[in-house]
Amino acid sequence: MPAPRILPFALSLALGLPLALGASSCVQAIEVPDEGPGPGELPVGATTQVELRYLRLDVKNFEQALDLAALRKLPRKTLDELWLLDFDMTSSVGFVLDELAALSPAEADELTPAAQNMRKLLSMTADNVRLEGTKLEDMIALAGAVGLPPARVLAALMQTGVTDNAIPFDVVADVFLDLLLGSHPNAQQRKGPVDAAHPDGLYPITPRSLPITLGDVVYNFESLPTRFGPVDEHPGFVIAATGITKGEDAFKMYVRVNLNALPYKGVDLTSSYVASVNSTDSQIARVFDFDDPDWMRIEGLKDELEIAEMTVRILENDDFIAGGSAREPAPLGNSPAWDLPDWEFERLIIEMARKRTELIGDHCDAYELGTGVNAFEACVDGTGWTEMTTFTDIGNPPPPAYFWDVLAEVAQVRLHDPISPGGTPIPEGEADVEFTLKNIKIPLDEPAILAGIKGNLSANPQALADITELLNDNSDGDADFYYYRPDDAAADDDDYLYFITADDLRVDAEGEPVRPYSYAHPGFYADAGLAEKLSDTAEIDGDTTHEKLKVSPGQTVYVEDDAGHVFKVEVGEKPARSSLSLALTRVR
Amino acid sequence: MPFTSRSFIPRLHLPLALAVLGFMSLPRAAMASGLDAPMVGSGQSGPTTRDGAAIHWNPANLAFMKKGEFFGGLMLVAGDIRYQRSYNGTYQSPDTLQFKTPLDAQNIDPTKAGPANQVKANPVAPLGNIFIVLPPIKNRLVFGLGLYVPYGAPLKFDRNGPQAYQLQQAFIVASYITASAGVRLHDKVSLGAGVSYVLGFAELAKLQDFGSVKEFGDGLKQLGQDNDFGPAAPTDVRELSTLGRPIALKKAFSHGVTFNVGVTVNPTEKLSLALTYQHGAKMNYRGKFAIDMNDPFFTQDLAPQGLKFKPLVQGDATLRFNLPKRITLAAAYDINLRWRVDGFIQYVRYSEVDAFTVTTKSPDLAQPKLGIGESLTVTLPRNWKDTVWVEASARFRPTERLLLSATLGYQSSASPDKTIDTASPDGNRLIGGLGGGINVSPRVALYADARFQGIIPRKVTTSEYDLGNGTYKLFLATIAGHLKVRF
Repeated sequence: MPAPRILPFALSLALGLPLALGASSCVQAIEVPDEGPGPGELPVGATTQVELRYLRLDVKNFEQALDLAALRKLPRKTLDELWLLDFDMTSSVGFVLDELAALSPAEADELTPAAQNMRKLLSMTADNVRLEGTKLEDMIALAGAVGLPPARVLAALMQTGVTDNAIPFDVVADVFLDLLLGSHPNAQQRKGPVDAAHPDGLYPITPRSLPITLGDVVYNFESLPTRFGPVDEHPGFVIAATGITKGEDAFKMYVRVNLNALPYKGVDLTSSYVASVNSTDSQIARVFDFDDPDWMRIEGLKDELEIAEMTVRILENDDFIAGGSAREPAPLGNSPAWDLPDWEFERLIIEMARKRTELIGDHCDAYELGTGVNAFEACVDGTGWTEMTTFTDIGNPPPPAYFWDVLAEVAQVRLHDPISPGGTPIPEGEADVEFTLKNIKIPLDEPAILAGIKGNLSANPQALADITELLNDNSDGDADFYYYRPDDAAADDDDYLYFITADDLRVDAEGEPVRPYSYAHPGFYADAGLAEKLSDTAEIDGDTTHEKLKVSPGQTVYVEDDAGHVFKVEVGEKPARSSLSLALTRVR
Repeated sequence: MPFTSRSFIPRLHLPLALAVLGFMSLPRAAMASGLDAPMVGSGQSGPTTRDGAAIHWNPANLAFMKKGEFFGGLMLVAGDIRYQRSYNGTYQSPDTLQFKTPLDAQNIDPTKAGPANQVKANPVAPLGNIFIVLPPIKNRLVFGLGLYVPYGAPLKFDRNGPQAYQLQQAFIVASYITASAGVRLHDKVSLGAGVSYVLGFAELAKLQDFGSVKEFGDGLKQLGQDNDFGPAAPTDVRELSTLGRPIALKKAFSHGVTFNVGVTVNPTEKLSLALTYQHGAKMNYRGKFAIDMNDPFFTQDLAPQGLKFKPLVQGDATLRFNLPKRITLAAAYDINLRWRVDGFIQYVRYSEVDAFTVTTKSPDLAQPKLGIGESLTVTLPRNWKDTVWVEASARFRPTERLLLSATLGYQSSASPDKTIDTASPDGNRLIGGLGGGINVSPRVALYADARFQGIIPRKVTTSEYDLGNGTYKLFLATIAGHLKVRF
């Protein structure tokens, strides 16, 4: 505003005084020097001066919240290995099978071909199967001879109605989970902390369950197709998955930390820059108080997780797999389907058929001609062996076989039925099966999950370090060494230089180091040739990994940076009790 | 006669004990009665004097002026202000960061104990004033217009001295533009009143101790850093070099209005009595502030925890306080044609200055994670005391053209020991002055004055939080020259 400035001048002029010259400037203005670029790479022989300060800000029980956005900055490996629970999929799969089977024809037409295949399998009944091309093909003539539709005969064999599902959905679900899911390596074991009971760090996963990790929560289950996709020989079974995003804002992980929150000040010799080294890793053993029951807590997981969609695909073998024809080898017979991998459709279907056979009691059905003459008999014994015998000249009976061999063939044929009536049958090998699980609600027992996370973390120093560094990401620049003063009161006035380790490297947003640890001669040396090392890794404040050296004014040491430049470091007089003045001279 | 008995009579230095100017995050203000401008008008001016300076001292006296008058002059104030801080508390090494007592033994700074190096400021300030008197109705109604500077306080201490957390530099001016009128009700009684526009200007610089800022302490507690920071922080956690940030208030202007009234009674030809009241004023200084936050602690190292200032934080600042009311009773007596004595006693309600309320505002101040908003309000306790100012002068006229005077006075201290510091180096002040005037012609007179003020060395040992303990010395010398032209 011009008026207030003009007025004092006018007044001062009126008074003939220089007094109000103060209106221009009487008290020295605050100015911050423009830091500008550092001295940059020193030429050989050049010297620059740096001052390092050692400060501590010891925060205690500092509770900080990590939301999903923050957690996404953690290394993915850390998140994926942080197990929350094993979720039993049985009811979810059963539910989706019911839903799939109950779709109206119009709704079914909207499905993908593979999903329609699955629906055909689920809706298979004695009444809608085609027996041509199966072991039961000859039964068509026999049934006709006695004036019955083949479906009646087949239904009688299965001891069910002609329109009842050939394979109950619970059988489908069980087999899917036991074989397809159960055969996947990532559904068998998960990684966890190494302890006495798990020296290899591998933990079994509850059968028929999906292991849910913090990575699933953080990344909205997006990694399910990867984790349960192809692994080793297993082709995988999850081809797509999305999580429910609602509640993302509600999720918070709180941790209480105790640490010196300030970074160590060091020097990037290559650029003569005073850099900051994250101090977290060196204090990780003391950061969390595991005796404090509230050292970690979670919000936003109170009720349930929800997988919006998870599409499962089952691959069909390229060939038609015939059912077995012999009792031996007992008890399953000789169908090649038994030798297929657990994840292939034919292997799954024969197992489903076998389980269906277990529901059939030992029985024989006799069929008479109109004359009252016994025409043929269809029997299933207690082992599932199915045999038809003719007593008149009405045709050849089907060859004997286990009922599962019969049913598996029927299912395979049914699978390849045209999508629409009158259409072309699906070629062999192209009838993959797929179904989509929707709105899978994963109920959560928050205390149990929290306990699990705590257990996992407390035994996983690297995960702890990752989380803590995420909370305290204060690295700046790329120091080669830093200044440290021991906690020990007895050594309070000791000054140390620590050469960095790989754990000290600054990391990027993905948690990956921004540069390789490429030091040919880490440590501090007495000579420019780096022949005599002065530093060692003797324990100070629990640290045994850093090359460290106690220094004092007047001392000279030599250091090599990651570019192979060697510097003479002269320790000057201390500017203050917790400060160090260093003259850096590049010697080669 | 240039020096009529009446025009010669009153001569009492009315107080200008304002005191103030503080600065927000500057937990201290830079002014007190010890830094008031020592003179308004010449050394002959006062509440019983009939000259242009009556506009300030007692507008009732204008009514007795029969001619128009220009009365103006210059003065030069030079001071010697010394302070030897005494560290009576326990302090930690300034380059450490222990925020919570008790201090670790190794963190105690043994050098911060007892007397520190003495610092001094030698302000030199030119001041001046102009008064114009116009009597539209002779012997009845007189108008006056005055431009004067009752407050001027330039201080410049060592920027790195032990007082730096109290004050480094200050420049304070308060100028009055006053329009007055005096009415003669009776031969022996007159009334007067004036309305003043008060223009204030202030600049201050000091080290701001963030250890004494409540919001900073609260913010660190949110980080889980238990601490003793705040306005009541013990010495153990004060004056840490990392947390001592240079701060300056620049170009702060205040606009205020006040008034004064007075009555003069002349019961006899030789005796004159005066009673005046100077109203207070609400001062609201608005300016710009800047804080040097250029330390990695504030700009970088704790950024993940939400502490990330710009290296230079700038914004608007206001400083609010009330100028105190004052009432003055004065008397003058003409012993004979050559001798006269006069004096006054003034009571100043400095107890109205209980604190300076300083507010800074800048988007760059906001640290949301720590609960620090864009605006910080700091209340700086002053808890000043009412003061008494008494002065007595003897005036001698060896010839009709020449006048000589001598003055003695005393001002009590406004600042209590608990809140004194170098921003208000106050004390019980002794005043002495010598002056003279000469009639150059029937219309023109010149005046010259020398005035001295000094406090009895004040040793303070009970300053709150050891902020201002130590020994204060103050001496001000003023020389002034004035010209009076009658028309």
